[in-house]
Amino acid sequence: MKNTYIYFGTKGYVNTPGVAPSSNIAALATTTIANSGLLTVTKANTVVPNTLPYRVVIVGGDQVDNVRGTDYTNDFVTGALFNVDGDSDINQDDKFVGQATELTSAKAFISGNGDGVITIGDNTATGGTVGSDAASGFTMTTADTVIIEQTKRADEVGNGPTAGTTLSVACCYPMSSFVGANPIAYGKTHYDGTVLDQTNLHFVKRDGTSATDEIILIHKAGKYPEIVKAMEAIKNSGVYNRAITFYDLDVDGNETFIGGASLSGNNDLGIVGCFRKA
Amino acid sequence: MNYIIANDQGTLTSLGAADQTVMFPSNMILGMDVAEDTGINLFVVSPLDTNDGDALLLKHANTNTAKLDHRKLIDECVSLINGDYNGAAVLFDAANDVKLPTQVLTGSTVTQD
Repeated sequence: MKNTYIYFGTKGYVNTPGVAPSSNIAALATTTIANSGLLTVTKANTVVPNTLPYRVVIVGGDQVDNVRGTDYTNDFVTGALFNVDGDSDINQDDKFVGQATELTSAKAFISGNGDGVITIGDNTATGGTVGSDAASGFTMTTADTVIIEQTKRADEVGNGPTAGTTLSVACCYPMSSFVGANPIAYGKTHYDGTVLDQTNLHFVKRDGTSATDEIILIHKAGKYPEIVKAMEAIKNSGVYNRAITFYDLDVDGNETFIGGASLSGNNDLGIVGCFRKA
Repeated sequence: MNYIIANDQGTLTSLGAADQTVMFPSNMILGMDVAEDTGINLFVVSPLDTNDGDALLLKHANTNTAKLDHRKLIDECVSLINGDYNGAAVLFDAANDVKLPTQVLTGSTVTQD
């Protein structure tokens, strides 16, 4: 009996509240393969973030003047200049609700020695142990949201399936092992304002034991019906000579989507995160 | 129903112990994943314990030059598993130098629980 197979790559995704700095630095919640599909690469304050397999974006949750480093001039989502001036100065350092700031400066943040903790420096002259300054730092509040989004397949120690391996996990299951799709309360918003949901896809566990393997999907809210229709379409696709990619992110940052029930190949489901629960 | 055979022993005379050769029905496959930077696991229901699984490690080239090899190997496995054949298909066989196109036989192993 022939069987269709489904394939999942990994796109780590973290959506966490901002942290108010203490001694000029703010350490975010720990990211792990288990909770987010991504272990943030060790990063010193000399490393430019665009060389990393992830980006860090802060979305303003309140209006505060003089908190954004002057290196950041344009909204990451809209591209618009941060030229709305909240006070009498002419800098673009005033944060407003909904503004998305990508931390692109080397001194903006550091990541510990494989511990998955990103520490962001504030925009004062001292900068604390991160070494940020008025140009590179960002002074968060707890009203802000920080999004860490994987941008290419990780190839760094700690991101593989076992100690010492580096490449992000990818996995494949026969559709006959698919045992259900479970909607999970998520209640968070992406940096572009999209409200998000989570759906867990369950498969008979690969080690043959009674538990299930879970694929975590973070996606646009309200897409659960389309996800289950897409699973049905994959099962009945009649493609037997290769695995069908539900989602993949390669080492060059190229993404592959299944699409919705029509298997369009577009990101109809609004997927922002996809990883296997460790 | 078709069957799949895998053998990691280089000579037939060395066969005779566990973790060397396995034969399983094609519908007993539990999945595949990236096992390491240069290999994938193919998981099957263990013939010794149906509440357990066996893992076949299929090696591929160094990731520095072939970071998509794991995907090619997974597709090749799917194609073989679903192939039109009667009886048994050989996934890999070190004794007869049979392997999938992207596979490297050296280091490819059968492990039974």
